[in-house]
Amino acid sequence: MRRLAIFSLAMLLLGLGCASRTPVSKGGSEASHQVAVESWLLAYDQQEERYLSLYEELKEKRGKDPQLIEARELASVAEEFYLMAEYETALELLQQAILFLEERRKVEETYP
Amino acid sequence: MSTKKLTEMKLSLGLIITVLVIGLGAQTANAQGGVEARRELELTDALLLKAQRLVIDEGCPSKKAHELLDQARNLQQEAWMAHNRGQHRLALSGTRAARGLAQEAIKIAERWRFVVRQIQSTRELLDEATKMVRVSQNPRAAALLEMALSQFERGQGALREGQIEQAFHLLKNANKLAREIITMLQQEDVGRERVGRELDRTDRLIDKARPLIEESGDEKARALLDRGVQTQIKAREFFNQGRYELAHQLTLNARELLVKALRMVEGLISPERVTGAIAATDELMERVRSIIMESQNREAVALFLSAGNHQDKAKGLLAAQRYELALAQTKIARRLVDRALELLGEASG
Repeated sequence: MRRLAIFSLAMLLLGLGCASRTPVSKGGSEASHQVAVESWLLAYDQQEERYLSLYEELKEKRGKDPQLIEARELASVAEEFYLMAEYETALELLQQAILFLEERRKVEETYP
Repeated sequence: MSTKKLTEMKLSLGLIITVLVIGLGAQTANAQGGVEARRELELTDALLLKAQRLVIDEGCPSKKAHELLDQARNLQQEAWMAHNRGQHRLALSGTRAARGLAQEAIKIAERWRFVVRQIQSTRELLDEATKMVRVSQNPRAAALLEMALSQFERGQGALREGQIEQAFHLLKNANKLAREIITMLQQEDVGRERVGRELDRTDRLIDKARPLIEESGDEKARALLDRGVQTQIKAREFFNQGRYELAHQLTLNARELLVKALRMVEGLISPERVTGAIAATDELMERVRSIIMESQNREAVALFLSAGNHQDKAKGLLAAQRYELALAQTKIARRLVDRALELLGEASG
């Protein structure tokens, strides 16, 4: 499941990375830029939802856990970059935050 | 005995045998026809029982279903009588016709049962749609709801009059419309939620950008900030009017202006800027290392060690010329150090 999620994100990043680096002609540049931005926003939204649901789930049990604090800081810096339109960096950081939380949850499941 | 007489006798005997064989064959065929007719009659009886349960016992209001069932029963009765008289062909065709009528009656009754179930589910959907329309105030949804409610009422009326086919179509339409309204308003909710989130994000960016830009004294950046804030105000106005697409577009425009202004003040993410940020984090970590590591606070120590990992990553990324990520990692390292100090009741200064 996790591998699949990582693979999907990798493909998404690759696709979006290509989209953001592809030079566009002046006439179509505005529309292409708009589409690329929309794709990033959508991807970020999806990842953020995943992050938030995991975070809420774990916060109940382990609010002051260092791993949770680290995940929160990763997500917070991710949003800073997202707001500065540095979408690729933002998504990578958010995915790191998700991985931290997934690892934490696995530990939680193994040693409840 | 003459040869002529002998020939005549032979002919007569042949004729008798032929008549006997034909008679026997006809009797066997009749017996076989009787078995087949009986089997078919019994099948029709079973079907008539089913039709009676659906049409009469369950109270199907369709006149046509009742008429069809009556006709089927009469035909079946006549078919049995023909069978008892040995008229098996007549019995067979009669019972098959009866079965066709019974099947038609069953079809109507089953459709009626479906319509009755449909009423309950459509009523629930319409209640849900009505609540949603009241909240959303969407005029298109309100018009569709009016249409759906009218079809529903007419469908119920048609059902009371036993017009099952008409009721079926009217209720099916009402059901479809109710589903359309619910989906439409649910999508609107998702859109509103998403745009609301983006508006909040732009507000946070304004809060971050304003002090930095005001302190910088950069007039061009200040002008961009003002334009960004005005655009965001317009975006909020459109959002409050329910024009989410436009609000979304405007808040993104506002953000672009703010980002431009911030870049004027902060500069682009250059190797020099990243190197400076990493050095500042190094300096902070050195300064507070002993305070945290000797604190015996496990969480604070864990956070400080994680900060070290992020700082190492930042350096690696700087070497790989991935400046944005390098800056992000050193920022995270710095924040983790701050969190560790908070746990100890200290501040990074």
